[in-house]
Amino acid sequence: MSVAISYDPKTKKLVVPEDADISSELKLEIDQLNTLTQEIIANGSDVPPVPTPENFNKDMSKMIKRLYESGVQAFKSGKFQDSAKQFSIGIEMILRRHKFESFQGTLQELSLFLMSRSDAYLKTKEYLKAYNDSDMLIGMMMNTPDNFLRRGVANFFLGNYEAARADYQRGLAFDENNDRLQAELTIVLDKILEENGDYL
Amino acid sequence: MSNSTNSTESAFEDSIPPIRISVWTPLIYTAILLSLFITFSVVYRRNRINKLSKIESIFGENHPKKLYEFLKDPENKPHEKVLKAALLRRCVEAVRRTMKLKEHQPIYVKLYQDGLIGDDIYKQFEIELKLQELEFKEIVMECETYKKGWSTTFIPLTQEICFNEALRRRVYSMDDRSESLSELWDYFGDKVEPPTEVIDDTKSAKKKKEKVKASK
Repeated sequence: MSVAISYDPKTKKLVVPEDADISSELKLEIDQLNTLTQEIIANGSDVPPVPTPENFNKDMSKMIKRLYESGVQAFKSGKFQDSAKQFSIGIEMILRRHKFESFQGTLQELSLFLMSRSDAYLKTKEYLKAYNDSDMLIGMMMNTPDNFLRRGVANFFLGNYEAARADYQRGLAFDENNDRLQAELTIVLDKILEENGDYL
Repeated sequence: MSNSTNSTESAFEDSIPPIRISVWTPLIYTAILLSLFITFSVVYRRNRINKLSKIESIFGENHPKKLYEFLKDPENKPHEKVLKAALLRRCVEAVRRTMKLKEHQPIYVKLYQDGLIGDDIYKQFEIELKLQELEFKEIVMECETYKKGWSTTFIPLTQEICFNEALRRRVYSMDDRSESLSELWDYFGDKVEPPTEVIDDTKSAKKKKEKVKASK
């Protein structure tokens, strides 16, 4: 290896000198390896166990649930900024789970937090962040009309009216009787007409 | 009649002197033939290996594999769990690459059948598939050296790590994505403008004192 990477037996990590010129991919690999090493050492067992719903870290789940509840509470009391912050902390905590824990469990927790954070961002008018969250949600769980509604609203306020229309229509493909989606679709269609200097 | 033919044959045989062949002649002949064949096969194989080694990998450098080999070096003497983690990371990369290849296989086949890509690119793809198979075999053999019977749970475990890492990478890339999207859409509503002037209290207090001194 041409880059001066060394192994530190004290920290049990791979170390790269600060001034070393390394590619972002290699840096990412080293970070991922160091994190996995620490997680395996913290786990204590000889080899990491096979991930199952049973060995999903329950203590962590409790803490995450508590954060979610406080976020929802803040949202209900109209403190949207605080609520978004709580959800962000929760997401950070979910991502700190051991990498060899059940992916399905992590995905479920993350989608719950992303949904709520997206709503909070829409309320605080941080539409780009709301777009990012809802876009990721659509990547994770395709057939949920609510996520198309979230991304559609974000797109509408970002000025991407055609994209918003497509999102509402896709959402309606999964649930054609969704009143909210129908109402938003009407609004965006009017807006598109207005943008084109046209009217019904 | 028969007498006459016999006499002509014997006359013919008498006219041609018998050729003496040494015992070594067939042996030398075979040896030359064999050596020619061996040289040809060696040169052919060397050329083929040279050609194969010149084929670029689709994925670029395999960092996890290099890191594992680096840690395996007896000079480093890492903790056993560090080696296990490095091997897991190496397998995660193999899983990721295999999934990407399987994902793109129908596209490669279709493009090749339609004549839109050449033999070289399709061969590169096939070689990459074979290389991944070999990589898996090597990894499984390696993991058995750490714990007997680990290979049965090793692959499902690495798959889970692979998915979890991909999820983390996707979430962590959100900030960069926001920036590129805001530039793409010319949307800067989410960005808060930094304060134009930072008031430093200590500096202003010093200036005031100096002014007072000067006036005195």
